Order: sequence, then structure tokens, then C-alpha cells
Amino acid sequence: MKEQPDKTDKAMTPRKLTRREILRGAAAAATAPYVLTSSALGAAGLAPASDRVAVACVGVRNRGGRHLKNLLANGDVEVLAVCDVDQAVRRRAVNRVAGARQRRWATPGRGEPAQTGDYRQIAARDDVDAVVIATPDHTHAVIALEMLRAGCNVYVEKPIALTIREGRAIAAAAEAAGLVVQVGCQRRSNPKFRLACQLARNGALGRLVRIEVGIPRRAMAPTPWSPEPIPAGFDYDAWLGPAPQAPYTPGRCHYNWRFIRDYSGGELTGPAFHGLDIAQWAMGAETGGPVGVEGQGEYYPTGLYDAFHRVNVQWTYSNGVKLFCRSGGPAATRLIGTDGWIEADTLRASSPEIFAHGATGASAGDGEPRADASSGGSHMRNFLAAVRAGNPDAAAAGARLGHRTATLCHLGEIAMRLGRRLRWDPAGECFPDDAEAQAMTHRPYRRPWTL
Amino acid sequence: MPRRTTGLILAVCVVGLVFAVPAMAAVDKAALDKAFAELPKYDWGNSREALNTIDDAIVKSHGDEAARADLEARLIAAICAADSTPAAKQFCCRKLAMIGTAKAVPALAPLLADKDLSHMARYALERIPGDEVSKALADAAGKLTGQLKIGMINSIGARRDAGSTPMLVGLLKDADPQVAAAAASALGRIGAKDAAGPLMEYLAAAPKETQGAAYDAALEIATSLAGTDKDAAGAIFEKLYAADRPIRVRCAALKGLAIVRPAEATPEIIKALASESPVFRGTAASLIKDIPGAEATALFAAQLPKLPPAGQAVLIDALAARQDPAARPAVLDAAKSTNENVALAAVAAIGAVGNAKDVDLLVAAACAGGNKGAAARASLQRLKGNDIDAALIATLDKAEPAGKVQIIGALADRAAAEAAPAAEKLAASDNADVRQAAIAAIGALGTEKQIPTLVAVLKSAKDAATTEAADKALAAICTRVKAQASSAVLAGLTGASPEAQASLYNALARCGDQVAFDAIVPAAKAGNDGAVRALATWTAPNAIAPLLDIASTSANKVHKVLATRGVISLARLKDTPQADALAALAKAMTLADNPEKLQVLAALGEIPAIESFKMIAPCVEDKALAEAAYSAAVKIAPKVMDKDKSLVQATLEKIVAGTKNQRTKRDAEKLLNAAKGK
Repeated sequence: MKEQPDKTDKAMTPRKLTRREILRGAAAAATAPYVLTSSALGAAGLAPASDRVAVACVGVRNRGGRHLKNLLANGDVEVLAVCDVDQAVRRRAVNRVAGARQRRWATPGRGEPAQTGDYRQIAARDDVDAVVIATPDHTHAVIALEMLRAGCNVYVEKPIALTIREGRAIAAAAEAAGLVVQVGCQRRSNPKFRLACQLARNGALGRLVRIEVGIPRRAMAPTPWSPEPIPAGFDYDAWLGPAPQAPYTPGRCHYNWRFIRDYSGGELTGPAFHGLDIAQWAMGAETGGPVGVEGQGEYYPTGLYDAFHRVNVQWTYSNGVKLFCRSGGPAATRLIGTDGWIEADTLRASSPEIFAHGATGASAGDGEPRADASSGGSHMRNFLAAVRAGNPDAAAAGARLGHRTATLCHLGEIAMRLGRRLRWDPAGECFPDDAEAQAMTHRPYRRPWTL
Repeated sequence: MPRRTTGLILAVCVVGLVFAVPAMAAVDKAALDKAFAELPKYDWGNSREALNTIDDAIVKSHGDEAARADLEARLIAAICAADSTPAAKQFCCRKLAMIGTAKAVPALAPLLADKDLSHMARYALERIPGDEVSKALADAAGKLTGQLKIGMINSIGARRDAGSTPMLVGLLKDADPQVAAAAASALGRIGAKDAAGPLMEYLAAAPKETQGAAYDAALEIATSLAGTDKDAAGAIFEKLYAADRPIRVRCAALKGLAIVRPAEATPEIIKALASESPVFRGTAASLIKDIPGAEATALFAAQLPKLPPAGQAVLIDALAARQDPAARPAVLDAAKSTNENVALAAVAAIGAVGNAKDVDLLVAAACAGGNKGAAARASLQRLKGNDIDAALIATLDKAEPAGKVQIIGALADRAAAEAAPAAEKLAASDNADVRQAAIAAIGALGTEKQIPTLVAVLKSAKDAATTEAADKALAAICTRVKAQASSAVLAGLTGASPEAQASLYNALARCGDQVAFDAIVPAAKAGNDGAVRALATWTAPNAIAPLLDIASTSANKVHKVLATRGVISLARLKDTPQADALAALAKAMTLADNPEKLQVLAALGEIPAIESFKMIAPCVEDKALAEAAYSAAVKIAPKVMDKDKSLVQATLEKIVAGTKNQRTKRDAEKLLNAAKGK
């Protein structure tokens, strides 16, 4: 097991530091000597082995595959292991890593990374610094919590979790352990969105009164289905994870899980998520949330896909700001104040004078993650830098704020499901007067998974 | 309420959704009866129509106890029906999770032992309050084994069923390590004090693979006790803080100790600052930020020289976060460190704990550039106190040019309006860096009083950089103070070169008042390039007429284009009356070349009026404009359909036949189908 004691207390029996701790120590303490083996010094542009972040990737198909490709392009990262419940997907990822290793070292024999279909085997390793999780939403929480328990830093795709309770658990675990969690709120690392939020938070739009998040209408259809045999090499039970038992059908799994409620928050945690995240940021509400929510959604009356495919939701904040999200209309996030508006996606504004406001060096506000110039706008680079520094606060999208944006999505989903206006207490993170809604903040897990 | 998609709803989507929750329709009793009759036969892959009908009825029954009781009874009956499929039973469990009561327990409890339905039975039971559920889960946990048993234990934990604590304590000794781990997790969730002892005993012998869950459980119990029984909580945290525990557990335990035993925790926090683990150091720093009092500041500050460099840097950050001036001496000492990271952290911290006496030090550091220079500049901006701006201004005269640049920049960053006169003095400096920094500062801080200085700079500028800086500064002030600046800018026009005039007309456009308008319009009509450009950026509809005049009569091709574009922009303004916008766009269409005609079409696509549509419609015949016309027409067609149905339909048919854009085609087809009642 990778959990290791610290040797701060000199009275205790000294022990060897783990590779991960050596990395952290080296990154943070300029005076700490490196111990380099001859093989550790790689090709030009590569960091020495002791200074590389050792990463494992869990979920390596679509989004996860892109993360893997991105990681392999970084000279200071070593992908040690890949995990996917689909053997064919896993094999492709292994080949990709092996190929990159061969190109990197210009000699054969560096071998393949470790591979597994069970994320718990990743957690059991003691040489992994960070884990990148890009599995379906319904498995984010169990995997992230397992990795945090094992002392690993975590990059988890958005949304951080499928339910509000799961998100709280991850945020609490990360804070208690002092580990870095980066949620895939990539716009937090994008200077364009940052500028828009800075302008909104510093009064360039006057008093913020309304935010509109438009999302495209996606090509979905009520898809007929019937149970089919589970393909060889696909661990369907592991894929289902804590979600309810359901017969296998191909349309349920790869990619399309996002259209099914048992595995996803639908359009709100999908295309709407990033716009809603920017809305929270622009309002300075990323550690809080709305006080009310109402909405309506549409779903197909039959077929496999039962998540809302059209949404029309309104959240109200205690300062009177109203946030809208709807399908159709322009796919953009518009921040509207008493003195003007700005579209965060394009930086179109009601007037060029809006931008003059930013010329005095205004910042996004206290408590904001500082601009990480060294990451060049890359969310993953920002994560890796935070891991190397051992500093959770350096992550642009930490667990707490990722959880709050996910909560916004889940609140919208619950309001649409219940068809009524709901009051929300952002401090207590509960529905103060609606037990039914409160019960929907978590979904009981299938055995043997536990939160 | 949730809606099922139909063709009609899709048509509504095309014309735009409104943000309102519709009134709920009454439940159709006959349809509900039919749905419940069909429910037992529902199987995977079947239509969900019947399920949706029941779902709708449940949503609508909110607040209606009688309706709820009836629905619950029907769901229970469906679960118990011999011919119900597992899929149907699963659906019933999901719905009972919303509306179930103790009455549902007898129907759900037997499912707990069914490997295919156990989870869904818990799905419902976990959320139903009452002792009946607790007993059912505990009974099942006693009888079942393996994964089913683990499921029961998880649900008992999720319900925080304190009555099950003795049973769960007993399960810590279960032969199946996964069962024991689940019991540990459940005890943690329940948070019962009497579970702490057994849990710590379990932890001592727990297999590696379940230690993480057991640690979390112990931390959870201690945290839940922290508010009510500090001694008990402290005892647990202390054990978890032991040096042989994993770092993440020690971090959490130290945080707990800081809450329940703050006095005892402080030395440990200091010790943690020297840890080899940055995670541990970071935890210590985060705690230091929150411990109140100047005494604590002094205590922590005194540790600085004793720590290794990495610990020093972390502690300095933490001291900065406390913003307590008591840390200033130690931070100033650290700023002299030969370790780059320590010195950098200290310079950054001076902004939080320093005072006016530190201005010279920070200016010198800012001049050195690099990371430290940037940190020093940020500190100059951050320094608090009424005397900081005065200290910076006082330093200005004696500073070297590089220092002057930093000071002026810092004053601008600080929005120190009283520094504007000082910046004015340097606006004519022989040193280019100083001169440009001063002009930029005037732009950030100045008012109309500084306009004459900027005009003078503009008129006398000998290099492009100075001209550009003055141009920007003028525009910034005029944007800020609007009409108050127009007279001063106007006065500057006398004797100005064409280049300077361009800047001044641009500044007048930012003023936006009648004085500015009356100055710009005649000059623009006379062909003054700067004035035409200024008028083209005017932001009120009163510029439409003169711009149209220029677009119609000017011999200068560039001016015609600028004026036409200006007209189009103004027509799109919210403040422009629709009739005026339509008239302006009609005229612009006759004057424009194709690139501007595309802009006209885009603008027409924002005006949902039949007059707008009638202007768009002919353009669908023009190959160069067709796609833009298609897009604009589809956008407003739903809103004008009833004004001239035959024209709109005919145009939509042309769009369907002609467009290469699939989305436009799809939207046009939908509108046509809706219009034809399909």
C-alpha cells in the first residue's frame, strides 16, 4: 500500500521516502539534492526521472484518450499505467504509450506501461503521483476517493461527480489530505474566459444582474434497444460500477452513457457545464451557489436515452443575479450587468469601453487562483505544476469549486425532475424544505461500492 | 415539470423557449389506470410511455397525501404481483424512493435477498424514514453474506442508523475483510463515540487494502465529535496523528487537533513546517493562516530562521495571508535571503505586512526585474495605508529613471488619483520609458484637467510610441469622464496636425455628448479622415443620418465603407427604434457592396418584423448573398409567419432547395412542416 508515514518526528524509525515524496521534495525545495541514476537522464527536453510526474490514466477512450495523448507530449511526465474496463480500448492506449516511449528514448525495450481493468490496482501502486480520471460520470466519485485515500493527486473530468453528496465527499477528502484535485473545468485556465470574469467581478459591467448560458441542440434520437450479449473483453459489471443493474446494450456504454440518467446529468453536466462554471466564476460564487432553482426539461418517451435532451433552467442567487441555461439559441455565455454585457466565449461586448476597465490591472478578486503563466493556458500543465509544488491551491479548478459548479447542474436536474421551484441553502448544501429533493442529492450505490 | 418530446415541442424549441414553468395539467385517471395495468409487463427495451405516465402522476401529486398514498399502494401492488418483470419492479423501487413510506417496507424487504433486485430495494429503503426500514436492513444484514451483506451495511451507514452501532462493531471482526471494511465505513458515517475504540483496535490489525476506509471512518468519527466532545475527538485525532500514520491521515488529524486542542497543536504545526513532505508543510501553512492573534504571528515569525528554505517559503506565504504587521521584521529579514525562493516569497509578502517605509526596498526590487521584480511591483500595489501613495509620490523625484517607471506604474495600479499631477510633470520627460509610463498613468488616473497636457504631448510627439500612448490615454480619460472632457478636447483641435486631429476626434467620440457630435459631424462631412472614423464608431443613433449622408455622397471609397458599416452597427443598437433601424438598413443595402450587404443581412436577421423579412427575401436569389439571407430569414421566419404566410413559406422552400448549411436546411424544413401542420 502506498500510504507512507512521514519522518518529521525524528524519534521514529527512519524510513525510505517514496518516489512520489522525493519528487515533491525536489520540486518544492530548491536546496534538496537530486539523486540521479545514469539512466535517469533522458533525451534533450526531458526531465530527469526523479523529477518526472508519474501518472496513471483511468478511462482512456474518448476524452481520456485525448488526455493520454496530451500527457505523452510532456517531457516531465511518465505514464506508468493505464486502466480501462474495455480490453480493446486499453490495448490501444498501451500501444500508444509504448510507441511514445520508444520515440522518446529512441531505443526499443523501454516496454509497455502497466495495464489493468481495475482502478483499485492503480491505487495499490506506490509509485503513482497523479491519476487522470476520464471515466463515465457515475464512476468519478468512487475512483477519485479511492485515489485520494491512496495518497494520489487527482485530475478528474467534469463533472466531479454524479451527485451532490459525492462531490462534497471528494472535496472534503481532498482538503483533509492536502492533495491536489483538478476538475476538468478547462475554461478556468483559458485567459479569454478569465478576462471576461475579471471584468465582470471588477465592475466593468456595472452590477451583474443576469447571466445567460446557451447550449447547442444535440443530435439525439429516441433509440430503440434490446439486451445483447456482453462483448468479450469488456468488463460490463465494472463499467456499471455503483449504478443500478441493467442489461448490456452497446448504446448504453461508450460515449452514449451521457444521454442516460443513471450515468450522467445530461445536457447540464455536458455541454452546459463549462458555461455554468464561468457563470459561477464571474459572480464570485464558486464556493457558494444559488438560493433557488426552477426549470423544465424534455426527454424522449421511449428508447434508451432518458436524460433531459432539452433544458430550460433558471437559478437565482441571494444577490438577485439570475442565471439562465437553455438549449437552442447561441452557444455562448453572456454576462450582463447594469452597464453592459460581455460574451465570455468570444469576448464580444456591448461596448469596447468595457475593456478599458481592465487596463488598470484589476484582478479577479481575493481568493482567486493566480494566473499561472507557466502553464500557457493548459489546464493539464497547471495541474502538473500544482502536483510538483504539492500545492492544492495552485490548481486552477480545485475540488471545492468543481463541486459547486457540478452542484449547480445537479440542482437544475432535480428541479426539472420534480417540476417545481426549489429553495437551496448553499451554506448548508441542502434543500431546507423539500425532503424529496434532498433525497435526490445522492443515489444509493450498488454493492459492493461505497462512498 | 418534465416534458416528453413531441413534434409540437420541437417546433416550440425552434421559435425559442420561454423561462416559465407551465401550469400542471391534471392527472388523466384513465391513462394512469392503463399505465398501471401495463406496468407489470414492462421489460427492458420496451416503450417507457406507461412509466412516464406514472412518473408524471407522482410529480403532480406533490403535496397531495391522498394521491401519494394511492400511488404508493399501486406501486407496492406492482412489486408484489406475481407477473411483474424485474424491470417493472426496478421502476417501482425507483419511484418508492421518492414517495415510499413505512407501508412499502413489507414489499421491499423480501427483495433485499434477491441478488438482482437487492440494490433497487435499498435504493428505495435508504430514503424512507422510520424504524421499520432500520429493522429490515439490520435483519437482512444479519442473514445475508458477501456482497449482499455489504450492500445492507452501506445502506445502514448511509441512513446513519445509530441503533445498528453494536451490530456494526461486531462486524469489524467478520472473516470477510470487505464486510469488516464496510462496517468500519458505516461506523464512520454514523459517528458514534462508542465505536471509536473498536474502530481503532480494528485499524491496528486491518489488512492494507481496507486501511484507507478505516482511517477515513476514524477521522469521520473524530470530526463528528469535535463539536460536542472535544476530549474524545482529541484522543482520536492524537492517535491518528502518530508519526507512523500515512501523511494524508496525519494532515487531516493535525487539522482536527488545531480545532479541538489548539494550544497543543501549535508546536506540531511548527514541527510540520520542517517536514520533508510539501503536503505536510502545506497543511501546516493552511492552519497558520487561521490561528488568530498577534502573539501567534510573533510565535510563527520567530520560527523563520530555524526552518529549511522550503519551510521558510511556505511559512512566509502563510504569514502574508495573516496580513499581520507583526510579521514585518521577520519578513524583511527573509527578503535578504540568498535562497531565491525565500527572498521571492518575502518580497511578495511585504505587500501584505509592510508599510510606507518599505517603498524604497520594493522599488529597488521592482527595478531588478524577473520574478522578484514582478513580486515587488505587486507588493507596491498591495501595500495598505493612507500614506503609501504619498510615500511613492515623494520618492518619485529622487528616483532613477527605472525607479520612476516602477513608481508611476505602481501609482497607476493603485488608482492613486492624486498622482496625476506628478505624472503630468513627467509626461514630457526626455527618457522615453519614463515618458510613456507617465502618459499611461495619466490615462489611468487623469480627469479632464489632464487633457491639455495630453493634447500638448500629442501635438509635440516626435515618435510613434509617444503618439500612441497619448492617443490611448486621451481615449481612456474621455471614456471615463465623458462630456466633461469634450470642451478641453475640442480646444485642442486648433492647430493640430492631421494625425493629432485623428486622436482628438477619436477622443471626442468617446465623450459622446452633443458638443462632440457637433464638432465631429461637419468635419466628417467635409472629408476629415479622423472625423469620419470617429463618427463611424459613434454609439448613439443620431449619427445614422450624417453617416448615410457620407456613405451616399463621399468620393472617398474608404469613407463610404466606414460610414456604411457605422450605419449598420447603429441599426443593431438596442436604443435604435425598429422603424429607424429598418430605414437605415434599407438605405445601407442600396449603398453597400457585398461585404457590407452581408452585415446588413445579419442585422436584418435580428429584427423580427415582416418589413425586415421582405428586405431579406429578394437576396435569396443572389448567389453571393444567398447563405446569409437564408440564415437571416430562417431566424425570423417563425415570428413573421402570420404576417405573410405565402411569402415566408415560398422563401423557406427556396432555402430548403438552395442552402448548403445542414442546420439551416433542417430548421427551414421544421418551420415549413409546422406551418403546414405536419
